[in-house]
Amino acid sequence: MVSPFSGGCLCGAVRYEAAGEPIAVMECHCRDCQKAGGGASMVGVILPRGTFRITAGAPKAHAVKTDAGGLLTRYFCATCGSPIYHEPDSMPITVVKAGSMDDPSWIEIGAAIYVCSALPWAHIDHSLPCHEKMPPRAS
Amino acid sequence: MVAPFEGGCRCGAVRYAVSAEPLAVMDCHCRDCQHASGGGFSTVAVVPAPAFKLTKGTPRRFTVQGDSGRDVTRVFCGTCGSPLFSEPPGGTIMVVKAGSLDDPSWLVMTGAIYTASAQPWAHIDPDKVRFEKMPPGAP
Repeated sequence: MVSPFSGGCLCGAVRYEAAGEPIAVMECHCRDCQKAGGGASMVGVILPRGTFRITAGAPKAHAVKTDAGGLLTRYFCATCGSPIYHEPDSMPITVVKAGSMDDPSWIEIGAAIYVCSALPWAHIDHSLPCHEKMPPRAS
Repeated sequence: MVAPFEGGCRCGAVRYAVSAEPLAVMDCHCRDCQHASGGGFSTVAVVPAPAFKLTKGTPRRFTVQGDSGRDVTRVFCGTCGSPLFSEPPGGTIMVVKAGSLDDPSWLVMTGAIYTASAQPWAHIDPDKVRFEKMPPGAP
């Protein structure tokens, strides 16, 4: 893994820096991530909360209830709409969207989650751990 | 295929309806789509522009020069940030984000575009049509 790393939105209004080593990289197939990214899944780089900071702009927040009953706040650029990161209230982590990184090429996806709601045409790498919902220790 | 079909953003502020079958369903691996989706690529249903209708709400729009040198307008919900569709140059087609459909399960993938900028970890189906950039003749 390569840290620190930086990233931001498509228009450049929002920028961030991440100083922490990623805990994991996971591809999430939940319906909410499908809606939030417009695709079949979301690739999230999971960081310890507090190792990620916004260095330019102010992303807009939108909070949703998770299927576990908690709150998940998703942050996006209000100008260009790029999804940037999200934070669950149940865990001290920040989940950065892979596509928002200046260089996402070095990440390695370690697991697929919420495969119970994966679209029939979505690619799932079955050589990786695949969890029906959240990984056991995270729920 | 199932037409007509509907979709919208996660919070429900913006809704749309499409009255025709998709012309194609593509994964786009361009860097802009990576930013706009937050993932490795966007998955889109290309539909004839006259068959697409906004039925609720006023989404936000962001226009950016695409790799082709022509303007692409990306449309998203200003409240929840969900990417909804984009308007390529020419006005003949609308490019609807697969994840925004109420039911994306019936989509049938055609292939991939902009594979030249695909992330090393992004899956590209070797059995489907692939283009390094845009397909020839695309608007």
